Amino acid sequence: MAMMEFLTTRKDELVGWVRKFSIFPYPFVTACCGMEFMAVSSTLYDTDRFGAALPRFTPRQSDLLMVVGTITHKEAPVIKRVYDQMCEPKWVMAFGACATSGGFYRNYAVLQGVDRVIPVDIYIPGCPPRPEMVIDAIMKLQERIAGERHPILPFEEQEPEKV
Amino acid sequence: MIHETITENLKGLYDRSTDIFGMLVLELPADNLLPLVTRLKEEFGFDLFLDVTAIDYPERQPRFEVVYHFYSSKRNRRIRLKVRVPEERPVVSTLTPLYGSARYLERETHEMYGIGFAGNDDLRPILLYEGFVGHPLRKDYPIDREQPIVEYRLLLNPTDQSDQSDQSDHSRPSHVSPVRSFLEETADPNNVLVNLGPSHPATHGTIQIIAELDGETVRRADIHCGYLHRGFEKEAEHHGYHKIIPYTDRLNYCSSLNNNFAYAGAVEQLLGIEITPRCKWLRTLLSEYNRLADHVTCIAATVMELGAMTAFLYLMTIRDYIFEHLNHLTGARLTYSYVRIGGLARDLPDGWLERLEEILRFYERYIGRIHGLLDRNRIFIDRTRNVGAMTPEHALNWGFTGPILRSTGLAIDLRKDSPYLAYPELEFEVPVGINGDNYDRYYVRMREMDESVSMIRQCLKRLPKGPVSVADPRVTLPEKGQVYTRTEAVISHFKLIIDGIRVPAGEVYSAHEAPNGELGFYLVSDGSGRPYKLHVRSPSFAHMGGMHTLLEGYQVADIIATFGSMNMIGGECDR
Repeated sequence: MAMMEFLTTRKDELVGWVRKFSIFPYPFVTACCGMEFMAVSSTLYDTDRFGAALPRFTPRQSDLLMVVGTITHKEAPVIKRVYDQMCEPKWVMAFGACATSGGFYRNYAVLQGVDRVIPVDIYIPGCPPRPEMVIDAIMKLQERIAGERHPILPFEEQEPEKV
Repeated sequence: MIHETITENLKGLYDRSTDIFGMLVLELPADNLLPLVTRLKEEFGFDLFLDVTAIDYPERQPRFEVVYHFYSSKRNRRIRLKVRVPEERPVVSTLTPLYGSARYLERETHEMYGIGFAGNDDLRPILLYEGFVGHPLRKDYPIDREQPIVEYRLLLNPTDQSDQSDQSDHSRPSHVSPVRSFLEETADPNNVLVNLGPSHPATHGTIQIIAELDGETVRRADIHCGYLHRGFEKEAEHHGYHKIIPYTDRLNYCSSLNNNFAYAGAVEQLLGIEITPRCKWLRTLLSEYNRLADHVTCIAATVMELGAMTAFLYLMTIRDYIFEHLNHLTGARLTYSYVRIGGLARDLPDGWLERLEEILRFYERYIGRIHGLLDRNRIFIDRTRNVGAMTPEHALNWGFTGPILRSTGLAIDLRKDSPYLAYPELEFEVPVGINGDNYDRYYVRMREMDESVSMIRQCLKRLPKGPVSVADPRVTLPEKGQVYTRTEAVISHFKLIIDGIRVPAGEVYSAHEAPNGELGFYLVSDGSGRPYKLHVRSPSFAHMGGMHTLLEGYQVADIIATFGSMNMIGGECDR
């Protein structure tokens, strides 16, 4: 009886493939982009198709921090804290022009890009971005996750995060 | 006339009275403020405290002018008071004994201009944060002087590659709190303090609610907003009149067009421009269309937070059709920037009105399902009926406007009371509630959407033909073809682009009925190409100032239902 009893693959490929289709996002929604985030996650665009639909509203359980909207100086300590609470592996998406660079707000109140306080993996331009752009960004991130190395080490041997 | 009665009766309390665009303006010394406002409230029924702000004139003596706006619900009148205070002692007396809403509004003016309010014991920062030095709306505060409270991660000098690794020290707590709650010192030690937000799964928008709980009951709540303060007013002082339009989009981003039209209305009033009939009707139509989208978003978010996912998905489908349809017209799904001073960016594309009728029919089919899912749903009623209830007096005292005020039974609606655009020619009802609770706020919004659809249909029938922009060389760019062929057109084009629109010196307060309530733009011009001062009277900010009264005494789970029904929009609240 010809049954497949084992398969061979590289560990990194296997883990990357698993991780790529189980992105649990934490939507850190602050501003206008949140309206487009609602559109992306509901019926017509539906991020469920990419395995990235189920928002976890606790940073401990999520692995993709979506920074949706303007981050002000007042908000900066909050987002820094949320990021620090997330477990590895984690990725960050800067959703929209304000999260990327401060957008057209160049003043005393607005942080000029969230990458000044936390590292960002993928940026989405647009004010706000169209849902298709968000889906494109999720797919690009998935490609990247699939191609990354995924070391599985005991906690003591894990290196501190490289930026 | 009411103006004469007021000026006659209050003689001696004020220095000068003027009439600006139909609004009575009184200038008075700081000492007379409290007695005059008390009499205005008691004798003339000015029961709604709309707004307080200040204007900074660095070269004048005294330097600051504190500006108040009041509304009388019985007489349907607005009044503006102005008090001059010197830089050495910028203090006026507080209005908190008369109006609950003064508590929050005065805090904003205090931090933005450094005006003291004697008697207001709670002047903590509200839009800014603890540790912010200076007053950003004063003219001598540079627009780009940032005061970050988190250490920046990267070395911002790109040539220095020596060490770009994560420099934060993990042993040290990485956070500092931007706010300070009064509950931390005054809470009963037997009670528990619970913090909600600013990033919480069941709230939309960034708001922080610190609640003192006795068991499951909220005893006191301290509400902090300002996490989305993006410096709209400072940016407006540094941009020309046309360049401000994109910033107004991002105030209430669920209904950008309403903000656009309210802002353009204020500027046009100061310029003395009469918009064309087609523009007037189109603006009315689009205001109602965007109101529909706003209410849909509000109800969708509220019921999703209560767990009604199906209703959320249905409503999001309607909203997405509206967004794509407006995208066809304006080129953006959400932030339209469709208005121009004196008109609109362009006329309707072909087939737009036919598609509009299709969407309205689609809306009617879907909204029936929402009524079926929610109206008599036991869970929904239990969580909303008699929760967050209030009386009309309470609502006026705390500065509530819009659907929230109407849910208490007061039919106050700017579209009826001080009609603008084409509203006087439309037939519509103003739906009101009875109890002023969460259910009534939900139902008032549902009924308002039906009225909006009926108004859109009336606009469709009566939409006149003609140009959408006025042919006024002060504000309208000449046609592209003429710019290439005629010298005057080139000059006019150049002046409008480089100098911007020149608005005559003066001041105006223009208010529209935005989906959330009275959205007012108080514009002061000094005759240059930029506003000297542009203040937004935002409904959400006043709502947040009074929301704690609707939370106290209810269960902790009711915070979510009440907060949802208030429809707080961060961009509009924090500006």
